[in-house]
Amino acid sequence: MRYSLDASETLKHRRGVQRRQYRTIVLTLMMATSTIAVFDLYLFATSGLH
Amino acid sequence: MARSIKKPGDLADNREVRAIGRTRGEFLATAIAFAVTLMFLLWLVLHVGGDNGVRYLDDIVTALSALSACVACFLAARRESSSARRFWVLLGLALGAWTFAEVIWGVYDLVLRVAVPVPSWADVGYLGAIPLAAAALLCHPGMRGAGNHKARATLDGLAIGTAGLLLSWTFVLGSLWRHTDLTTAGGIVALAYPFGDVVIIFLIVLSVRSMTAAGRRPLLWVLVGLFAMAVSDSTYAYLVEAGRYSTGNLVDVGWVVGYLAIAVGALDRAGQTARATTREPAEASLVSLVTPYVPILLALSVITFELELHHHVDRLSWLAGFGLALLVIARQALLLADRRHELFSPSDRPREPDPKSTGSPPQENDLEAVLWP
Repeated sequence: MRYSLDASETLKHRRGVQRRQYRTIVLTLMMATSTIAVFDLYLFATSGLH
Repeated sequence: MARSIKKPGDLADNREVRAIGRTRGEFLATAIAFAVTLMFLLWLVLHVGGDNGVRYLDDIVTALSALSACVACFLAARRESSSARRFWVLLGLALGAWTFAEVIWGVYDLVLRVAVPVPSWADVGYLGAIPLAAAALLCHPGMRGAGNHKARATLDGLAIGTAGLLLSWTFVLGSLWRHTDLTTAGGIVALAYPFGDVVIIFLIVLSVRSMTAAGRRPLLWVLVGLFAMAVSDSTYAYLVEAGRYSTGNLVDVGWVVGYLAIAVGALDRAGQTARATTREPAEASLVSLVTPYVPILLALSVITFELELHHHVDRLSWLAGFGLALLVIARQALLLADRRHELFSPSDRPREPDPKSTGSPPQENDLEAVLWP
């Protein structure tokens, strides 16, 4: 199979792949941060009540 | 040599030759910096020449590294224009203050052969450099890229600052605060160092957050240098408080790494400027996306462990930890609200480059570039 991507299409394709990878990393970090923050609030609430 | 072959007036070719020449110069500067750092580290580890040899090498190499960074910053300022020049001039002044402090330290240590008193003229240099370095980072063109989501940028800044303060308080500042006599000038000076380091690290993370691919490398070198120095500074404060510091301690490597990294970044600057003048939109960098999460995740994890292990959490840690968790949740909620707003009103979404940013490539806000494809 032959690919006839010109330079701008190749660049666009590479940027698309890179953005998808970055999006996965950022979303993972956001989820992790939010989960720990909610858990911390729960711990603060329970430790404050005791 | 190569420059003389080119025809006069061929601007593009001349620029290319300059860029290649600078690339070789940058490589040489980086290699020298690595070699000096490695030699310094080995000398300290192997304790070559005994206490005296280590003391001489430590004081002289540190002062010379600071001086080389200072000169490199002013050389970079000569080649730059407007805001970039202001950045390098302020950074050069900060390094001038650090060089002055290192020389004073050396005079006490090598000439007068007495322990450096606290406070001393060296502290004037060390502490005077912190506001100058902070002003330099605030002047950097990259710091203006808050984008169209100013509320979220503000929350990010607050969260990063709170996380830095919480981490410093937990590991260095809290212990110093409790054991330092704040009625003396020496006590206030000892506490000023870690506070200044928190401010510098906060500004470093903000700079990295707004950094895009174009012209990234020189700024990264500078930020790595300032970070190494801030970490060394806080560790030094901790070691002094614990009575475990003496000249030749491995923590001194951090200052040499810091000064030399800034020197390499300053020498790297010119080649990047030529390449960064295209009107192509700047791509988000992975470093700029990940870095803001690092202090926040670390600080949240630290407070989780302290609460889970039922350690004593003092009032400031409690307030900072609680505030940080709220800030993070508010920030994510705002992100979702922005996303919802953009989904339902796509015509409001500004995608055109900022017309005010003439002379530099148009920048997309990093997070938007990734999450808003």
